Amino acid sequence: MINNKFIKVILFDFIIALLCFGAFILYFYIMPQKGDQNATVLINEAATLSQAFALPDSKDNTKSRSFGRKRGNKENPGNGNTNTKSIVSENSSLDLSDKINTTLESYKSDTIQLNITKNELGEGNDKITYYTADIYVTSIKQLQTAFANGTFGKNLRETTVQMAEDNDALLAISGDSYGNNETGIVVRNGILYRSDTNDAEICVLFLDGTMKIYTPEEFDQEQILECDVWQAWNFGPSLLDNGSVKTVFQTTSYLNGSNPRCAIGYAGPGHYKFVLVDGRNTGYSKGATMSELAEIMANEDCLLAYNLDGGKSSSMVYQGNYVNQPVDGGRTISDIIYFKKEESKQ
Amino acid sequence: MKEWYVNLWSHLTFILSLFIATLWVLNLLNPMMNFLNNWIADSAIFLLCISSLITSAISIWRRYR
Repeated sequence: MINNKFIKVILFDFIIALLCFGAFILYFYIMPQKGDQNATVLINEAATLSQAFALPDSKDNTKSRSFGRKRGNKENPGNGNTNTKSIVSENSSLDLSDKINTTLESYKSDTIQLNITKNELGEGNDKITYYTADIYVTSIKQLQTAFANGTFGKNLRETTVQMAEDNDALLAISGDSYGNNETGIVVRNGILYRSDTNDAEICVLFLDGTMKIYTPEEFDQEQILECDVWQAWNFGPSLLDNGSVKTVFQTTSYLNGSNPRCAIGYAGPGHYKFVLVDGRNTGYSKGATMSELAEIMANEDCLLAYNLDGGKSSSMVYQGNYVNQPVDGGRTISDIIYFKKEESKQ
Repeated sequence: MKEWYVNLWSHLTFILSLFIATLWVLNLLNPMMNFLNNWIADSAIFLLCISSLITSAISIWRRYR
């Protein structure tokens, strides 16, 4: 027979456990903490003068491709990923041939050319609205990243708009939320802030404008960090395999639900795509699963694509204003990826 | 052995188990947040082992004394 005293004691223990959990969350996920400021510069001065890319003569906005779904080889899923935290890419009902796109913004200078389009797929409860920024730069140094409050640390947060303003960004998107974790490689603008890896795939942007995505097992830190790494993000998963939708994503079923998404795509050296999928707003946009996001990225002619922090964090800012409609007005985040108006003179 | 001393270890085991189980479930849902890959979770798991050892040792000792 369960008596009252037993229930009271168990309840008391529950409350203590709850307080412990609250203290844990407060310490690890809320209290701002400055990180180790002993960063290592990875790029040498000579290398910063290296690659220059050409801008396209004229932007062909009507360019389209066959919308048949390209999928990775079943016999060789992903990058040989054997991680148990992975899901098989499902066949989604996404019909990209019905896409309605509207050009929102265009910008061209001597060093950067970008086009932002709003894309709508489907209708009713299944409608997906996403924004694509198609960017060409003459120098990789124009693709920059910034920390909240300008400082590397944990739980330091600002809105995307604030960070974009602080850094004079032409276009900015939410980053990989490095500040939510204590582990994961962080290379920003050629500076190594954190070198350990975790279970997540790593996206590396090199100074020559190329991008590569590694599984933690493939990531040979010593060798890769010697190759003029300009940026490295630690979130994922990787969505494409040489332009084809991957058959396996290194994520969990919970994270694979229809959600707002943010991704960076690589179409060639000097040519990048930011894709922002809005979500959790029935009738406007339901959000995207990883498979749907991968299909969108493949449709955007990306060779590689990498998922960044989604949900409420997903935001795209152009000239100081939100392009998309972040869930509940968005939230403060730890970092952004952005393009400067003019080439950095550093 | 004083009763409060025995009780303390069983309560500690209960609280730590609840705490770690919560972290484990959250980490399963969202591994990107690294709920288990930090020094507090590591310490809690170690402390749980110690308290479990002591609680079970007391329980076994009581049975055979």
